[in-house]
Amino acid sequence: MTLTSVAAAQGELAVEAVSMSKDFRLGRNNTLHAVRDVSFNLYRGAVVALVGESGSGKSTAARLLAGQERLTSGTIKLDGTPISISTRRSFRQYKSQVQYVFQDPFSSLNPVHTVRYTLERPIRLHQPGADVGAAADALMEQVRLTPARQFLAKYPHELSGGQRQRVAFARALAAKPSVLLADEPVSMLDVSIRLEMLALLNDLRTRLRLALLYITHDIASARYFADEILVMYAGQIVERGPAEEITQQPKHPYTQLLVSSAPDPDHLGSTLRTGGTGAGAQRVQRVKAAEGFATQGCPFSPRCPLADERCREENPALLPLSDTRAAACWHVDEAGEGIRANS
Amino acid sequence: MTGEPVLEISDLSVVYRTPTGDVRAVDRVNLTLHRGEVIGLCGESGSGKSTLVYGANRLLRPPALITGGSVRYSGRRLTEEAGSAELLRLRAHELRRLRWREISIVFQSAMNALNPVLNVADQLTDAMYAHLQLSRAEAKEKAATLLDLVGIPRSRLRAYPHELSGGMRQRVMIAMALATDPEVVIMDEPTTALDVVVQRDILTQIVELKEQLGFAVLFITHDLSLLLELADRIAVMYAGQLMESGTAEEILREPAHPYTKGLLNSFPSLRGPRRELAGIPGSPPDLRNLPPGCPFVPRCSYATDACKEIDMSLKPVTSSADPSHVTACPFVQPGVLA
Repeated sequence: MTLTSVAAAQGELAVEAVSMSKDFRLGRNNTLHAVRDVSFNLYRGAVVALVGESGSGKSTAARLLAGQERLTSGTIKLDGTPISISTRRSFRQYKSQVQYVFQDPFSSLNPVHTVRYTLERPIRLHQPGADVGAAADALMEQVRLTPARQFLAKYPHELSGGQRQRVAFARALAAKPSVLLADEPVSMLDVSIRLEMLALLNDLRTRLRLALLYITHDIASARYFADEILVMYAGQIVERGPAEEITQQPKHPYTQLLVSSAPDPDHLGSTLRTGGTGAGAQRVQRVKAAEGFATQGCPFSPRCPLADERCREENPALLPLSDTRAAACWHVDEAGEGIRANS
Repeated sequence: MTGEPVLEISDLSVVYRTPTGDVRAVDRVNLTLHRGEVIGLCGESGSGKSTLVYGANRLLRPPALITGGSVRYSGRRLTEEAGSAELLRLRAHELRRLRWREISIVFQSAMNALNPVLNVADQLTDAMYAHLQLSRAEAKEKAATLLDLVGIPRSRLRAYPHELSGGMRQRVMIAMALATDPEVVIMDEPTTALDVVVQRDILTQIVELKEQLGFAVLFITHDLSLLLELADRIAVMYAGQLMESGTAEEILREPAHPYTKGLLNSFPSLRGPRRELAGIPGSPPDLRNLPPGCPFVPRCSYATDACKEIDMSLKPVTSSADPSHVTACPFVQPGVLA
């Protein structure tokens, strides 16, 4: 059975990550496997969400795609051609296709430059010969910062968090990319503003046919925003599939933990005050946050309630469950049963 | 489950003096915290929620200025001797005795609030030496017990902040706040920078500790969805004023103020059918020159001309049996958005 991504229905293939791996040498005989054998595709006009906790390798995966880190092994293909970022020139060519938006709009904009300067620089670099002023105005329209003239003259400290993040989007769009990598683009913003920003991103990907990688630890927002969800743990993809299926019937014990940890207003007061966690996945509830990943076997095994000898010895591969879903767990049948029994 | 009031904030107003005019950060806010209760204070950035509690504890420096109101604290240890204390009138040395011993604060961004050159044990015992007569050995032992309480292995007593993860640092902050058995613990966005699994872990722990030690919690956050599970009562703040206050149940099922309705319609839910979400368009007003009447008018879909003339006092929600469910909006019918 071969796995097809639900995102493929939205448009043509833009970027392929094939068995990407990244190791960081921390010292002699001490290597951190930040990303291990990760493969996925991004399609024009589709949103793929990369979900996981801090330290799961989701940002490193995005930085590899952005060309900011060198791959330890694996390949990245853009429009079918394997890319090699060996020179400054090839890096710039790649960057005009693949752009990155940072998490924190409070530190990603240079405080001593106006919005106009921040936007005009990438326009000059990536759109040679363009009318710089008109292009800047157009970008501001696209991210709905109007009147454009007024906002272009401002410094970052004069803008609210939401407005700053819009400027960061505009800066990324200045390169006219086909792929946008958004690393926790809303987690530093107020809850009331997040939705507006996601709506803006959604609008941009439809209008500009962007292939969007949405990195988040908030699986609930991924449900609403993404076509496909990839759940990462300790540098590996442990489960993937259509957003609605992953959030409603999580199969991997780690995905179940993530889902049960999200705030759940519909189970008012009940869960926290009685000391339990959200609906389903009761068995995972007392599992504490990671003290460290296992170096042998399944990386989730120290926290997993289903872990047995085999889990501690052998790392399960990501195997298809249906034509759109896959999970990496030796006990995926039992884990799936558990959810149904408890909810 | 709630007892008598421990902290009564009445008509508190705080302004920031700026060259371009006074910023009215907190405007005549009333809030009462009862013994053993969790109150959630919710609002966007700049709504004045942090200024309110820092003002009430006299932790603000100029240009902030408290222009009116009173803050009455009546802890168990005080009532035996002197009744209650008016925080806004206490002298500096009286205030110093009361802070931390009676009211402690878990500050925002634990990442930066710990002293990077002191190890965990030193941070924990510092407050004990200042407030409790303890020997070195007793203080060390108590520090170790506190770490047990928040679920950090005792072996980490000698660790420095940079050797701990974000979640662990946050736990150390909570342990520090509990070091002197306070009656009131104020938590200012204690989980904002953490991911969901760690966040839930810490919230569960706060609730357990509260049950065990019996302190009252004032929990400040911009994320209403957290409060719905955690808090007994919720107060919603906007532009320096209270918009609505009620039990968590009332706020979720029968929100009476359009702003609360908007907040409830802002976060995606993981369970149940997919709802259409709207968020709250627009941005918060400039507190330097607020229009008369309701400050939410420019962003409110129900707004009429009458809204520009109402006084913003909190009135009981007519359809609610509970007189403590109050709203500043006299026009809109309670209930969730369709």
